[in-house]
Amino acid sequence: MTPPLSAVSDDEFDRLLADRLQDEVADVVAGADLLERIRRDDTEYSPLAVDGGSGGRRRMLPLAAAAAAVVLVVAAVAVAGRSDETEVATDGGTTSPRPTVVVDGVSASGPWEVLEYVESSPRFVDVPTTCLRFEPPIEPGPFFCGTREDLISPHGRMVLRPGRLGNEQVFVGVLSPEVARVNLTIDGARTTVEPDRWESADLGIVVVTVAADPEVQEWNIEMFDADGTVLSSGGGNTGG
Amino acid sequence: MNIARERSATLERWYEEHATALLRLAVLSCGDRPTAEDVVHETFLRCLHAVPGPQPGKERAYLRRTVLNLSSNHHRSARRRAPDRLEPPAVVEAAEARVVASVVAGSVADAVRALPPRQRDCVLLHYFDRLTDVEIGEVLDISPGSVKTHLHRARAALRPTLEPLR
Repeated sequence: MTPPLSAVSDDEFDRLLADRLQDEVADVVAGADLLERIRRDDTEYSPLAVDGGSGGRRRMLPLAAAAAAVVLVVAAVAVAGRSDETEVATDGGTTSPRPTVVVDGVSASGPWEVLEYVESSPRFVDVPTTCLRFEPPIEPGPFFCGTREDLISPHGRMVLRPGRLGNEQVFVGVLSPEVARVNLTIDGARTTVEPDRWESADLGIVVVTVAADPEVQEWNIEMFDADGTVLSSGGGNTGG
Repeated sequence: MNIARERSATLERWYEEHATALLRLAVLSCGDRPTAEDVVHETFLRCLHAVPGPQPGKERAYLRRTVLNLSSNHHRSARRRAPDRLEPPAVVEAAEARVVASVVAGSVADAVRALPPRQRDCVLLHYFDRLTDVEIGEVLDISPGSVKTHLHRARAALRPTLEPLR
């Protein structure tokens, strides 16, 4: 008879939990059909790809999303007063455009940038998704993604991510245009920030770095409009 | 070797080495196979086209990180219908209460999925993928100390609530 999990030793608990998770997916095998699907969509994923390293290889996006991204990037660059020339890097005989910084700012731990803004219809959800590529990255994987609704409904979304250093964490928010100010109360200490505006994409972005050892326990977030009216408030904890 | 052929060869190699493990990880994280296949599909495409892509020898961590990231997006997407809410950075509900609710329905994986996102990812990488704290830290871009903390809290939440499943 299997012993109750609450009665077993830590080592035994670990073994039982590992075994049960392994058992639950033991019959799951990645088949040839999935590989074929990836192969098929690989071509669609890179509609502008040019074989042979002859140059002109472009960032690989669905055409509509690529066009939208170009419009947004150019508009954002114009707002920021930057050059609209795209840097081109040479890599092993092929050329590829290096993403242009579309919005940037400075948090306590240093500068951050959004290198790409992509709004597309990815394959794994059935609604349009907005993706931002932050530098430095703010979450695992190349992009910070969410549905448009996730990102700006009703007034914004903020997430907590590990910072680049072991003893820091970063709140990152993508906010709707009416948010003029954000109060962050982290483990009792209040910080007030104003979003960096990215008018062409109709979004504001905030990045707040907090020193936390080992990590933030509790937080509260309030968002205000330009008149000081509270638009949204909420809080949470790390669930320990 | 042209770009398309090189990418095709990379896909073959990655798929053979990692696909089944990634699909299992995605099933455990997302809860159903169709969604998991979509996540793995998207993972391979993104990683193949990433600029810059994973460094040689770091593919395993890179692919897992992307699977978990996309799975988290799936979780967020599933929650997006919640009315007029401020999406909190992590968890509002007590972790244990969520786990208890999930256990009523079923599997150990259900209970793990009810954990806060970071705890969930640490548990899957530790217990399913059998990665060390350092390796988990590399995948999730957090310190090994944070991994220990998340695992400790996850165990505390899971232990009493998994009892009904024995």
